[in-house]
Amino acid sequence: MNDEQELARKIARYLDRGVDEIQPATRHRLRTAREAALAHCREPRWALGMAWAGNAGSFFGHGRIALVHYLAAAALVLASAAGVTYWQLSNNNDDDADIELSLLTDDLPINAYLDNNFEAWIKRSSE
Amino acid sequence: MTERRAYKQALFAVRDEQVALELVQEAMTRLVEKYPARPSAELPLLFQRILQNTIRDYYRRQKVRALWTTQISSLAADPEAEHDPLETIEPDADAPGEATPYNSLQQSQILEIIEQALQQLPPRQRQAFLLRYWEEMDIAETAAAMGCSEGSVKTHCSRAAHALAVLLRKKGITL
Repeated sequence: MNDEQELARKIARYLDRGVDEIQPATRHRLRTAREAALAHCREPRWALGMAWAGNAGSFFGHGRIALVHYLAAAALVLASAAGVTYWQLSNNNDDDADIELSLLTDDLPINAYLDNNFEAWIKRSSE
Repeated sequence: MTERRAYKQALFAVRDEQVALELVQEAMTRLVEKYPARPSAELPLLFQRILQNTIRDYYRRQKVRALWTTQISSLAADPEAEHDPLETIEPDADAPGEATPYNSLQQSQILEIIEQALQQLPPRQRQAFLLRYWEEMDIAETAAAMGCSEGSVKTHCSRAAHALAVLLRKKGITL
């Protein structure tokens, strides 16, 4: 055993003595904390599962009003999404109708006839 | 016993009984929450690792807090710093355990000086020294608990032992 280890061993013996001199109140608190941690550790898994199931049961059993609120909110969101989609689609249709009307009344600007895509569309439509 | 040693380790690090208790409690709770299914043989090392991390987290929080507070108290002179307990005791090379009241008092005073010396060590040196020599972990276990290399553990332990020897010698104590 070298000097470092010898000194460390002696210091450790003094420190052990220090542990024995911890105040009873502090010891009690440490023991209580340890027991609480161990109790938490021993708690069976199925108990946690049952606790969750119990909470879920109470949600569905006693929280019917809350459930209705959730469903109403979900319906509102769905209705809003449907409305936005319908509005976008109807706007596109309006654009197409405007072009067709301009074409029929010969009211198209000259640039429209210079557009290659427009020419291709005319050919496709006439076939 | 384990929790008492843990408490003393935390106390050396934070120098506040209430905080030390809370840190040990937090470490125990973290252990059972994170590793409830680990074999019991692994728990002491895991606990030490969690405890060291908990103490380190506390240091970090304190550092952040210190940025926002003025530490006037550190500038004030500590009247107790002038007191040298060695003026009243005769060092004894024997190990603690003698039953006479005189020896008991003397050893309590030596213990106090040792604990003060430990508190003066840099945190990583103190950590390595306590884990290696007090908790009797081997070098690999100490490295795992501290999250560092085995080489670092050896260096920290060696420096800690040297610093403690110097601090005790300055106080006139030869163990």
